Amino acid sequence: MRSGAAPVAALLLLAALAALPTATAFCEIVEPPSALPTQVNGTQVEIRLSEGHAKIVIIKEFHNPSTIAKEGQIFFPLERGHELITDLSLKVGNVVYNSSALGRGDALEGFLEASAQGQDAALVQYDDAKDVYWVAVTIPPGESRTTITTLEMPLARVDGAYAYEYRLSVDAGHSLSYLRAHVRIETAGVLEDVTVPSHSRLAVTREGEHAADLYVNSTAEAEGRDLSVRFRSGRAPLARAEEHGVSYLRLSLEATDPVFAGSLRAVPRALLFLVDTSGSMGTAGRWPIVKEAVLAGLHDLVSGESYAVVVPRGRSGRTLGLEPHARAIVSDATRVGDFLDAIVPGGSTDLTAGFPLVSRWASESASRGQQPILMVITDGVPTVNLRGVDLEKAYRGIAHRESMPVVAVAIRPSDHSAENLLRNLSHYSRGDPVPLYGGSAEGKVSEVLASLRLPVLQKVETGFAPGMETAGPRTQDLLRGGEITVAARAEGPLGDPVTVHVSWRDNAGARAEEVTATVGTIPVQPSLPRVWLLSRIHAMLAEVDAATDDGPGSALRAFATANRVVTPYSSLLVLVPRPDPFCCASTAQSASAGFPIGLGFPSLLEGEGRRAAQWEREMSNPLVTEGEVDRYVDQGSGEHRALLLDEPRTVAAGRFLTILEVDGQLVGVRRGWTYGTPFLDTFPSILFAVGALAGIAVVERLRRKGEASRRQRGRT
Amino acid sequence: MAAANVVSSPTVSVDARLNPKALYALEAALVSVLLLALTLAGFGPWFHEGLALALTLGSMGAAVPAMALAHRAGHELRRDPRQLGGGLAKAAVLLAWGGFLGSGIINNLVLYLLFPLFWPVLVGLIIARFALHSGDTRGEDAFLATFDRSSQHAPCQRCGRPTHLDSGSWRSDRWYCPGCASPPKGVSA
Repeated sequence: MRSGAAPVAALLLLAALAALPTATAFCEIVEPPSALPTQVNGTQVEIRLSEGHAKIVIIKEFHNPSTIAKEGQIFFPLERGHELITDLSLKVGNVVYNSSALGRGDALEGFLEASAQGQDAALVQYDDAKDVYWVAVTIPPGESRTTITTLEMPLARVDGAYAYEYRLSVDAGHSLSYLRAHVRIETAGVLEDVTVPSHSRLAVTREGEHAADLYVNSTAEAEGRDLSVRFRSGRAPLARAEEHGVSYLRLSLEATDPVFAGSLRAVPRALLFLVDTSGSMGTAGRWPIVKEAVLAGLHDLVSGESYAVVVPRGRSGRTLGLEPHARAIVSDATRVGDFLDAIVPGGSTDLTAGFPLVSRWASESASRGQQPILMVITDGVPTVNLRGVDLEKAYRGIAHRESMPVVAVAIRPSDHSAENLLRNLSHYSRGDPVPLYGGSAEGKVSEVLASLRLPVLQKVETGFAPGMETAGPRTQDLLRGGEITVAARAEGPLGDPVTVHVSWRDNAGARAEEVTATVGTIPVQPSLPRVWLLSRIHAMLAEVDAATDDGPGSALRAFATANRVVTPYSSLLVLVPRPDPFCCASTAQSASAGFPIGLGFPSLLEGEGRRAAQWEREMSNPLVTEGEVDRYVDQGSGEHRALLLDEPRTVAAGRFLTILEVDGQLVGVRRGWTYGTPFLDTFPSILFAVGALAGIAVVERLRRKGEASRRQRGRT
Repeated sequence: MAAANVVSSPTVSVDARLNPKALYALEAALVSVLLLALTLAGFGPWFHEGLALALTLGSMGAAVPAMALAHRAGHELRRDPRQLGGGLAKAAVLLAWGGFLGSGIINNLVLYLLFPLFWPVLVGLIIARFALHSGDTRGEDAFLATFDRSSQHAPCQRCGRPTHLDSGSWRSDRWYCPGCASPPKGVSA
């Protein structure tokens, strides 16, 4: 039986997550590889920001250039406590079709049925396995479809400003014809300041004292960067709204608010360095940078904080470097340096291998009153166990369970996808990535550690008037530079004056304050009902995570379906009526196979050339070249047969080399040219060539001799 | 004992009696085989398709003059029975065909030559070869049939006069005595 503290802990965590420094929305387009993949003709993004609320409408135009019907899929890896998908529409030609909210199972069934009948449809749903939301849309051959997806999230203040970040670079990367983004900021209080740190050259157009606009009109203007917007508005602690006879109230108290004066105290940190020691870390000059990064992290610690270094796997055979140690400045740097110097990187990369140790260490740190922080130091190419979104989900999970930010230190990431993976690992786990290419590690690591929003006041409790229903938890942790936000609602008008009680404990003992204002002086925020709704759903999701029965799940399904919000229990489905019963004839066309030109018989040379090219490709697999393969066995050997009994997962299947994942290790199975001596196969030919050469020499000698004899005979 | 008007030839060493064209043919055939063997030796992880193609084309290219030289050597050997090297010429032909076909098979050129589209060309070439070449063999057959190995004489194929190998000559694929080979100007035969 679970402890009753579990839901409280989940709610506390939710509150902490709700106060993340920045929010980022983006989507990834996924489809099986094909000769003519689905194209994104263009993307248009409408972002509406107000105090405590962000609404993002992503309009993507897909085109299917192939001759077969396709199903485009867009993944939205949404952060917990951040964006929720609140609407989906499908535009076909000039007609926009709206969605219906359904239970998850019903929606999927409806989508599959529509697809089977050749009917156009779009579905947005949650994927349990990958912990992502995805939009699926059917696209007939040669046609275009436009999806209009709406996301909303509660927006929290950080360092006195609301900040929103949109991954415009992802859209810029795949939008072929156009990319447009429009940011509209509308505030109830006076809009004091609007900045665009990511694009300082973009002009911000003010419209009165409460609104501003910002436009990105092309891919060039996006400059390949993400769009980051910050704005400040009035600092009133209370805001209100009224809709359909229901009153809404929102309390937001910043860490800098005078009520918290004297109570804030930074929680000491406990740094865990999870170091990837795989083969690739020993290439491209990465290992010295690893040492530099770890020592930079150590240097940032102060008295009362602790660290640990974990080397989870590798040919070195070490499973644990150092147990947590209180910081002792000089000796520890030497000790860690010696420890890292003794490691020879080699073997496969498993970025989750150290998780049991990480969990244990995080719990121990929390029990000592420290804030655990995980620093993953890797090049970002996991080769065994979890990869991609599965890995992101695992990191999100451990960060969620242990209330622990994750900082991914990317050591010379090999490509954009590796860098992106590390970015996501950090970003969805309350951290920031640190890309390191050598040099200045100390500054960058310190900067990121300093930017982490860690608790400065724990368990702050808020109390509203009786009869008011709060959307989220009443007890929250206050993060550095963050705020305590609670939305509540009640039937009928608010009492006058409005009073909210705030209480907490600090070093001096229990503290309590009251925030009071007359209704007439409280600014009206029209988006407050949406903030309440979103906060309520996030709180219900946290309750579902902590629950042991289906009760919270059923309640969430009913609530989310009624409010048209996509959750793990509810989906949105768009069905486009079929205009013509014979419409599907064209979609049934299959791609014609090419007719071979020429005789159609590949020569022995071509065959051998292909084999050699295949061999070269297999040998240039990064897993082989970077030494990620832990060991090699010969095909058919006893060791190979023993491996097959474990039902290994095939990582790479080739003609000459197959790489298997067995017990978290990469094993290369060699066959053909990759073992034995290929030289022996060609030895008869070499002998033949030598014989021919000897024959030429003998005949030439005979010829010269005969020529000489004939010359002599001619003279005589 | 040679006849009174017959010139006897001096004793010649075996080396000098070897037909040079047969030797050249054998060399060329061996080069063809060498290139083919090198191509096959290049099979393996280090295989280079472009180089292999060049080697097989070189092998086929060497086999063609080898066959031509062996063919010419065969004629010369029939026209001068004192010469040696018939076996070498035959070996050259065999090796050249081996090199040509082996290389042609592994680079698929043989397949193209055997493709029905090329059959009319091949048949035309074969007919032309026999039509143009039949005269050679008739003269040589008559020469060998009447050649006296002991005196090294053969009758002129025009006037019938016995002519020593060193004094007669071949004109228009026939064996002539010096008189018939170059008749006086203005006098018809």
